[in-house]
Amino acid sequence: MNPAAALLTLGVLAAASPESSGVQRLGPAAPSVVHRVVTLAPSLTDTVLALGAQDVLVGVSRFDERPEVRRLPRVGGFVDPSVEAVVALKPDLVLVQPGPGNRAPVEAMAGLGISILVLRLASVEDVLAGLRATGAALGRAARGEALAQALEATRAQVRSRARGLPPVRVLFAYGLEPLVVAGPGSFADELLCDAGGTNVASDAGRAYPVWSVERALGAHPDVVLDASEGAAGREALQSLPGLREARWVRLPSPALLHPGPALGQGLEELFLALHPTLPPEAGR
Amino acid sequence: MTALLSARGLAVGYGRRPVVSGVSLDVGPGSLLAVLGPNGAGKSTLLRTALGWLPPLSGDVLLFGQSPLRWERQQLARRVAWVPQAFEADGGFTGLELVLMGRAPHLGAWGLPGERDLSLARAALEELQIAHLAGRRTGELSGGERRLLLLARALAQGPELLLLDEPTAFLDLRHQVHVLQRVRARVEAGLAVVAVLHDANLAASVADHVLLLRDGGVLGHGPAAQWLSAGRLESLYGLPMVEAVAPGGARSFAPRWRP
Amino acid sequence: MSAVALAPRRLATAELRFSAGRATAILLLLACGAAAAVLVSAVLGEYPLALGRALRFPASVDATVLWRLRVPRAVLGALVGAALASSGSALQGLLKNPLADPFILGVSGGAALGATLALAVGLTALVGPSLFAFLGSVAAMALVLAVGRSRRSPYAALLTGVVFNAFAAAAITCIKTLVSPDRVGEILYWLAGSLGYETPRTLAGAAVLQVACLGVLWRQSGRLNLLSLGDEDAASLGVPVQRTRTVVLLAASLSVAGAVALSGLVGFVGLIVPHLLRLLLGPDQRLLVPASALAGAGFLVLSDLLTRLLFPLVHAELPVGVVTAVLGGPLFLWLLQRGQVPP
Repeated sequence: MNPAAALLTLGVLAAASPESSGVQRLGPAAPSVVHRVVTLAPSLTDTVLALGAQDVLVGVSRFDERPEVRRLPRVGGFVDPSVEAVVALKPDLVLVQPGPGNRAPVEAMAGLGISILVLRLASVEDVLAGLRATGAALGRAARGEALAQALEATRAQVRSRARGLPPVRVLFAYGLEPLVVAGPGSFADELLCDAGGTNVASDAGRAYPVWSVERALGAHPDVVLDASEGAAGREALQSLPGLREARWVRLPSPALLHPGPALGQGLEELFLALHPTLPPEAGR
Repeated sequence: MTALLSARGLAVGYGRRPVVSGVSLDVGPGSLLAVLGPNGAGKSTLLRTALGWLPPLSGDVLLFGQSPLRWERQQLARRVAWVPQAFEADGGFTGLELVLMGRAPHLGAWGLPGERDLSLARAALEELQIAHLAGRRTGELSGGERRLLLLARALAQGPELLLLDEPTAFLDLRHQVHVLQRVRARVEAGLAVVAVLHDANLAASVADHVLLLRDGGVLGHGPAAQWLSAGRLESLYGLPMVEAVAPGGARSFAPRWRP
Repeated sequence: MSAVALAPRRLATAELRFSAGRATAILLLLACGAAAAVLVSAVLGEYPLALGRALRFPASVDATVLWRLRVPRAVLGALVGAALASSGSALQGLLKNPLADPFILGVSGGAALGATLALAVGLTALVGPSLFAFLGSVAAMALVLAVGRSRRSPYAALLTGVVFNAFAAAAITCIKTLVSPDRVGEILYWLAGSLGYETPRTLAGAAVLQVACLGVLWRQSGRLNLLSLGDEDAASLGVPVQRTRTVVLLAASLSVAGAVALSGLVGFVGLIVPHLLRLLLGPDQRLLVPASALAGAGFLVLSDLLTRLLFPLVHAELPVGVVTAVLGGPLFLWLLQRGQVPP
């Protein structure tokens, strides 16, 4: 999944009004046993797959690239899910990530009598709540709970390993031209903190600010986490003072880009990326 | 005989500076007033003020006894017609459609013509010998043909007063003569006409009265026979003129010059 | 390539082309076309609709898809298409510019700016961009009218609109760079123009607005013909020039504002449909205004149908403005090429 699409996911969530809670239900109540599920974002597909409920999936978004859902019909994108395509699949439950762009179609679906589970997945807390809620909705509450607890455990583990290690100054770049970085309130920011990194952009004021090259130079990061696609601008930036001394690391795992059940793995890979010289058991 | 158009000490212009001032005239039914003068003398400006499109800078102008600014547009349009110099119309209309637009002041909002309107329009085309232009698109016609259509439109409008701005421009000699003959015929029948002309000879042949404008003022105003003379025209145009009388009795004027 | 050679293809006498009979016949034909487009659009789509079942069982999924998805969308498409095309025709006549499209007066810039500002700030989480788009349009319209009224030239309004659109485009670009890249996607999508599913109440309100504006434009169409002769000629024929111009600008702008608020900027309909009809029917606005409305409705509905039929291929509903451009452009070029002299 490319960073741009991931950004869209994240940003779409960041734009949701503050009053909306992480988990919301729209439309009529879902049946207690759910046979047909449509997901409108890859993270939600990942969640369903992680819960072992692949066989209830009947439709996914066009951004889904997992091989398990290759054969399933596509129902549209983030800002433009097709109401008719969803209705045609006769789903029992539709999983949605909220955002102003898809609000109208989702409300139309709810109005047509389709049961919707709206999951905001903007932070780790949201992911945990999402796992539990989806697990409950699909009749796999135990599995959902287990996944959530495993995630929490991993997180606690990583945090404890990072404690006592010197903080690493990190610049997390989603794109190089223009230079879009992870700021406060972004998902990556949260994970960086867990993994013992210090986000140089923590005072940027927004979740996905666009930085000038000079500002990046002035930040003097120790590590630059490069999540951009393509080679545009990389060499130029890498040759600049302030950035060439940093260790440039390609994004270890796409799990860091979209919040989902693979979070734990992503977090561990992030930790290793920031502290590569440590033996695996150090710090425990 | 009440004047259809009258002016007293009228000064006209755009903005605050008068282009010409001190104009006094009366145009009654059944007479033709020719307005002559060099370029920029204010002839067209005078017509526009008479129609109420420009406010007079000083003095009075009355159209059918009332200031033109106070007339309701459509009512006025039934009584006064104007034939402009420029043709700005959309080239997609046919000749007949254009001439029929002259009937608009007499029709409702949709402008749907009745039989009488249609026959008036066709009659106007016949009268000016341009019936063959009825089905042609105006965009394809020459400048002269378009002028004739504008004239036909004004005739179809059925006015009591007709204001012509250089009616013979772009017309070939035959049409020039024909147009003036038709206008003159209508004048005999009671139409009042004010025509801005450049050609003193044409004025001499059709005008009852003339108004000579020059240098922001009126050089002269009165019966054509009296005011059209070589001497006056010399003062008007600043060119030496000669006068001659053709065998038919028509007076003609020509500048005295050699290339 | 003269007009005479093409005469046999025209529908009525070459000399006088507007008559109540001919107009009625043409408008009826176009109305049937638009109705057919709506019908076809209601029957076809991504969901395999069983029409019989939809009509017989009001509670079935088929009925739901038909009455709550397809029909409202088709009605919206018809309203928006009618609004854009009829306003385009009136404006092309008023501004004597065959390249005028309804967005030229700054209404589109205002709508886009209003919606973009709202999307950027996050206001649209509470209510959709439509309200802000409409407010933006109204503000732009007020500005253009205020300037246009103080000058006697028809081009003052046009220039103000063009300048305002440029300003709005610059402002939007600025906003796009300041706002996080994810929001840019939303903004771009809205700007591209698409038809969604509106409530019956919204549609009723939109219908009232559009019918009223169309009525005004149609009623002024006779005067529009006279205005095309030139301001002074029209005045000499009894037309209140300034007042007519203001009324037409107002009605056209309101109509476009109402359409853009619901659908975003759907391009080409307002430019191509009236122009095409002009080539076929002549420049008489008494026929062009209503004919454009009907043809625009049908054209947009069919374009929207096409976006939905393409869904299985691209897994996305393309913005309908893309389809209108792809359909309209070549069609227009073909017609020009056949030798119809643009009036």
